[in-house]
Amino acid sequence: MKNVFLLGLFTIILTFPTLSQRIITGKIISADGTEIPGVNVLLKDSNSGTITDINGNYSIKIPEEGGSLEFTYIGFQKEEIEIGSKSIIDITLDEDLTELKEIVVVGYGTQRKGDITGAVAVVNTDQLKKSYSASITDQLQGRVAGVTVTTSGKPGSIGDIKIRGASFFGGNNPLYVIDGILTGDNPNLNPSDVASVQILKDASASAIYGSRAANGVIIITTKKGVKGEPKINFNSTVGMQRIPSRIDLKNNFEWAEIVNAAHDNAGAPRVSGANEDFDENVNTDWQSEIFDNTAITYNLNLAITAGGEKSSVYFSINKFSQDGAIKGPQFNRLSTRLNSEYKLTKNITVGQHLTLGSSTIDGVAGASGPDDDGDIISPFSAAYEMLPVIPIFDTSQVSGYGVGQIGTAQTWSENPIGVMDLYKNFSENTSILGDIYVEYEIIKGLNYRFSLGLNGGFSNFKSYNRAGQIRMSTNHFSGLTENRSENFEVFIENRISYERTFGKNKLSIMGAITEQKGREKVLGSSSIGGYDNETNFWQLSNSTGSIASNGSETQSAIRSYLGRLNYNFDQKYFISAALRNDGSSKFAPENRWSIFPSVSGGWVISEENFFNVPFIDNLKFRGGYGVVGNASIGDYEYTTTIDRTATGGVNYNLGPTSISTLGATRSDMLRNADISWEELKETNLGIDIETLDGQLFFTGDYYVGDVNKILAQVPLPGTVGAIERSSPSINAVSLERKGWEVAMSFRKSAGEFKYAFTANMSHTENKITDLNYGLTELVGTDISSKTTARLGYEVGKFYLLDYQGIYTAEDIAALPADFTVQGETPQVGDAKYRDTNGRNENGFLTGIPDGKISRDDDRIITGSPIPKIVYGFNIDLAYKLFDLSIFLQGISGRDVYNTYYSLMTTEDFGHFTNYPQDYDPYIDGNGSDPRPHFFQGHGNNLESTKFLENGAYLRLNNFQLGVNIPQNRLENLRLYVSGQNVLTFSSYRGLDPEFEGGSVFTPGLDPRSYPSVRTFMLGLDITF
Amino acid sequence: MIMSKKITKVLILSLLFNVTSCFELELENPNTVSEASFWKTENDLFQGVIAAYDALQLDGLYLGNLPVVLTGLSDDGTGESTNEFYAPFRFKIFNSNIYLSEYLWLHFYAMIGRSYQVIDKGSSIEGENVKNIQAEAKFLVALAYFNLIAVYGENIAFVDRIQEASDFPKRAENGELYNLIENLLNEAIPELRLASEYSEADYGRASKGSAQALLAKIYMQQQKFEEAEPLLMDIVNSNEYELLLSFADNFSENNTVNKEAVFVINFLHDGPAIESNFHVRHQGFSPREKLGTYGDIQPTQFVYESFLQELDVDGNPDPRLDVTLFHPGSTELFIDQPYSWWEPQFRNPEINTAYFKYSEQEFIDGFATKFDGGTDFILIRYADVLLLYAETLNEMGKTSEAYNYVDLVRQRANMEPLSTAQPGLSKDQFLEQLKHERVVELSGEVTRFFDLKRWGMYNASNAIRDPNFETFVNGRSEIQPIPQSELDLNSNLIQNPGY
Repeated sequence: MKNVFLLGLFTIILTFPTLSQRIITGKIISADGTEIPGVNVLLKDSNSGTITDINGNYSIKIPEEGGSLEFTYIGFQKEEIEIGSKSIIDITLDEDLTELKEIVVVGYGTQRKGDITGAVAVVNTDQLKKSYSASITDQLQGRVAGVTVTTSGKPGSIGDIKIRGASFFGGNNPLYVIDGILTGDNPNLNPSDVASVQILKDASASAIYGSRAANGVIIITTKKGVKGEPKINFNSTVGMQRIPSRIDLKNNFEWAEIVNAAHDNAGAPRVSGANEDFDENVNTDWQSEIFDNTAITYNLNLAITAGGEKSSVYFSINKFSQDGAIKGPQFNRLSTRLNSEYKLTKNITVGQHLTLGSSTIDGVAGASGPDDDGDIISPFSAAYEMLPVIPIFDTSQVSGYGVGQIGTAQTWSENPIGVMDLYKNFSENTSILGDIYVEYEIIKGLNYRFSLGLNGGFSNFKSYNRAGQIRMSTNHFSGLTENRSENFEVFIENRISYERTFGKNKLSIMGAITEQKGREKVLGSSSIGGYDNETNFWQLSNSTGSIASNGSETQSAIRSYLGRLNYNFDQKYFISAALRNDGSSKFAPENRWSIFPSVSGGWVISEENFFNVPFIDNLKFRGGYGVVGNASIGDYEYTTTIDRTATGGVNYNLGPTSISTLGATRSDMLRNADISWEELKETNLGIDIETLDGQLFFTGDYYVGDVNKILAQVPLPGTVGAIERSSPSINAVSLERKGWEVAMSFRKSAGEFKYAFTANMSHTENKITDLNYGLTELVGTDISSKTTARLGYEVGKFYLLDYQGIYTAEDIAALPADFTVQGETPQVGDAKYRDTNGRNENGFLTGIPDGKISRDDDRIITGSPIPKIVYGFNIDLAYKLFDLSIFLQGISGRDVYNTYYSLMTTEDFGHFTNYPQDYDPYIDGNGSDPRPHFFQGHGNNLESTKFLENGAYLRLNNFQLGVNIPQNRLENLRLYVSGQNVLTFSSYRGLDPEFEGGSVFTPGLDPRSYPSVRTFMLGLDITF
Repeated sequence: MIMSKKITKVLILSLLFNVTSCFELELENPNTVSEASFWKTENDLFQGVIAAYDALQLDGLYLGNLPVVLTGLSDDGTGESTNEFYAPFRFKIFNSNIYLSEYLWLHFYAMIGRSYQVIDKGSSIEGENVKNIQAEAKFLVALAYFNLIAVYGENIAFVDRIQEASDFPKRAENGELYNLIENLLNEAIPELRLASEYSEADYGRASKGSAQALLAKIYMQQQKFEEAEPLLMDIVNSNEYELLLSFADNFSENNTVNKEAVFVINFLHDGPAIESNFHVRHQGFSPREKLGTYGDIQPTQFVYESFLQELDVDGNPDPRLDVTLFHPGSTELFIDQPYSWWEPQFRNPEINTAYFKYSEQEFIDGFATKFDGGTDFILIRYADVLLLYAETLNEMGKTSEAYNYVDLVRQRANMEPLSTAQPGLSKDQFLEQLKHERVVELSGEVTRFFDLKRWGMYNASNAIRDPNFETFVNGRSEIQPIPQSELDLNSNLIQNPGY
């Protein structure tokens, strides 16, 4: 700084004698106060010019008579200033609103948006922040073409994100890069801290992240301090949340009529609770008991930014709280961030990012979904499995809660109110994410950067329950479980980059070596039965029972060498090539290293002389090809271990008394030493169009690629010797994946009325092209009996009997005498399925109908569990002080399997549940649904297309109406009301059409998990 | 400027730090031993065979399901009529992946797999007990196949070594598996210790007598009585085994070495407090799923009636009745409840008895985490060996000699010796009488299924004793369908005919 000044002075002295000239000096900054180096400063209509230095300063000789100066810089609007008699001209350049000139982070460097040759989505973070959420990533829902986010109303839950669909069987989470730190886990960042979000969608763009990029990369950059006086922003939002939907259910009498018929039809004795002697005054509405709760949520955020000549700082503190829309759960998070930077010398800068978070989730057992928390049923299943004839409280029962009774009112569901009372669980998480870095400009254009990062945390889970009875004929012991884990990853990055412009050529090269090491330690303890029901001291030490403990640790490491070259000629022809070599401890030495290359190019045809379409400002074609990887396996999975545990396990008791002798055998989890990276090879073609003077922008991408070596848990025959089916991970499966994405934005002002419209739409599809061992079907424990993964088909297509209604008397009369359904002759009112296949005398399938409907033989592959189209649109309107934004989002072309109905109308669970109100079984000659039958394997209780429904929906996801109140003492004061998940248009009869199937193999099965909640909010935003 | 130099120095130092901190990519699993580093010592091998014994106690096998399945599949037991779970017992075509069938298959092959680890890895381990340990594993392989053949027939997966993930075993031809297990037992018999040569703490390990008895059973199942005879004679003459004075003592938690047990599966006597819920038998034989029991199987009425045919020498009912069945005349309680409490809620209302033998009486009221009890399950009992020996002698034309061994069994039960009650029976008459003797002596011990097959009686005609056999299809139902999941995963296998 000082040097520059001296230099300037020296120049002035030296040039003083030439009286016909004078010197103009000045400084160029951007609107946010950042100095802009490299700005072209030109004396108009002359050849004399200069550029600004690293600090944005310039000095230029001009003739005494003056003239005007032109300031131009990429990404900023051109400025022209009449010199007159001024000798110092400081300029604030306004950013050029043309999106193409925006500078975006693309991984290990930045690029002008217009120079990008891959499929990179630059997210409008202002729009994102209109959605209310604890996490920045949840706010991406519906905003970006090709990125789907499935959110849940569960307090503290983070939405599930997929980029270009699910392509792998073990893990489809994108890679997150937060200020350069790589993590596969959703970072759950405070949205207010985020400055920009870029999403690398295609393989050519993401290949710089190599082995972990196949599910796409989300690059999040947090805010930095801004030069100037400290600025304080305070934002507060308070809202109310509620589960918006219910399923109409039968009442006690209606339930009893059907359950009686089901028993009669099966020749089983009626259950007395449904027969004469039930209490007609008991008619519990379990749904309302569980769901009728209005929850409060709030978000408070305070941010301070400041900056001086050498340093800048950004600080924030955030409190987010969310109660459950069912009674019980609660989420709280406190997080802080400090980002700062300091210029040590002219060419050395040091800085850091750090965020600390502490969160707690008080849970409800089972609330994460079926089978969560051991055997406790999800409240979202209990609401439908509990019977209207069971009272909530029943003093004649052991614990005073109404439960199912064998032979009277049969259900295996836990009493959900009893669960909420007796079972408690709590989790606490403390997280640390941050880095320190040094940037050193060795010579002009040549930069070295070193960073050291840390990502980790501690978590502590505790659950306990009182002894008692909350389920039919089952008493449970008291119990307590505590699990603690710590998890840390260290990152080291050394990066060197060089950038140079010569003539019309622009070249940049980057090379880096990165290393990452992670370790995780887990310690758990539990005690069953050691607590009396009066205790309030739920600690392991207070248990009078035995305590069991477990502990383990794992480590992993990744080392990478990477490089990239970007070149463009005259901003017209672009080429980019990247290469990354990754080595991982997860694989055996011979499979450890793998190279991931990519190349892409762009052609701005509108810059060509021959291009002469007046209304198009910019037209660019892009194309790229890349290879990227994924590894959805745990650590050490290439070595088979020996099972040998001190108690239980494979021990045997020799001798006449009970003496346990230690046994050892190969683990049932056979490992495969040959496992290696999963791989995506993808071609991407794109087009960018800018028209109407930059008001309308359109971008489109088409991609097609092969996903190879997908790790699948391929089940082995039982003959391998495992007591549960051994399913080692094998690079077994190949898919073809293709799709398209389009996005457009339009904005215009008409006086004080401003409006903007953005829309996006995408489609993705996959097809299995190879399974190992010449198999045509992948089987395994993850694959439900209702779905299939078959050669030539989409993963997770439905596999169901084709339901055709119920048999009428005429139908039955027309059937051949030996026609059977599941081995029995059908009757009037029974389910009618299409006969699609048969077996010959040797038991082989023939493909010819055989007059026998069988669950094993006659199911068909059907439906489209993955949406054909995912879309979102957003309208922003502003008039004077008011602004309104409306965001709609939806899907179409998806079939879903209504598991609420299959559960209740007994495909899943034979007449141990309540029934939906519109269930109309054939009883006494009336009804349109199949005859109820108590026998679970009966033909009327099978998985069929009867439960397939149209899963399309359109949702008014968010609106926000705001007013900016003019105020003298504050820089900004804004009030707003907003709503989230306000309205949904869908014909689906389940609770929420927005759901993610339980696994990649069951994308269309509703897992009956926590539905989205409806939220209405009031907010206040102040800056001073 | 000085400042700048300092910083440059720091930078260089940080670079050095960088280079020296390279993370190692070769990381050992700190949690457990890998397969490659195990199987080095005799003790490793011993632990291996312990794990193979442990397989006997898997839930698909003798922990619970196997006795239920094999009793249900024969004419001395029946399950509930309307439940798909018991569809195999009604010889109906069923989804062959149902739990009962799939786990029976998986767990026997697990036992074979664990045993072959011992057999194969043992060949490179030195030690004085290595041969005996390997021989025990061979016995267990034979025991598994003996059962698998009876349930699924001979054309099942042929496994004769450690299996890796890339192995898809072939389908065994007729005779191949019998040949394999006969060879294994013939190798094992000379290597195995006599029961008395094991210490008391080793009670439960397969002895020479165990292997001989199993081999005799395997021969007899193939009608090879000539080969069976010397084996059975050797056991009888070895003086290793004897009938207990009290028949009932075989089926109680007596915590002593039982001289009548030729091969026994030890269950934990002290219940789940010591280990997890495993290693203690479950309650498939109770009358109903009440009081924490499962109640899968009830005896058929013919079993009860068999006991009523003959009184003991004192004119009282056969004393084995009270031990074997919970019947209208039972004075004992079933889990603290009298017959009159249970009777109205029997699973099958047309049958008025339940199995009492091997049903557990231990139970913690109200807390249904302890379904299981710890009575040892005697897989090969000396009384069974004696009756088999008598059958073999009869088949060999030595009927009069055969009488001696039937008499031993009858006299222990306070029944009149057959030699005085029914002297001079012809070979066929003697066999018919033996069939009766085996019912009253061995019902509830999972022998009837094999007996019916051996006697050529496993067919639809059993419907007169067990209505489940009404849906038996001769030519198909003799063997069960191979689990479909296994056929799907190994294209070398073919489903059994008719399924």
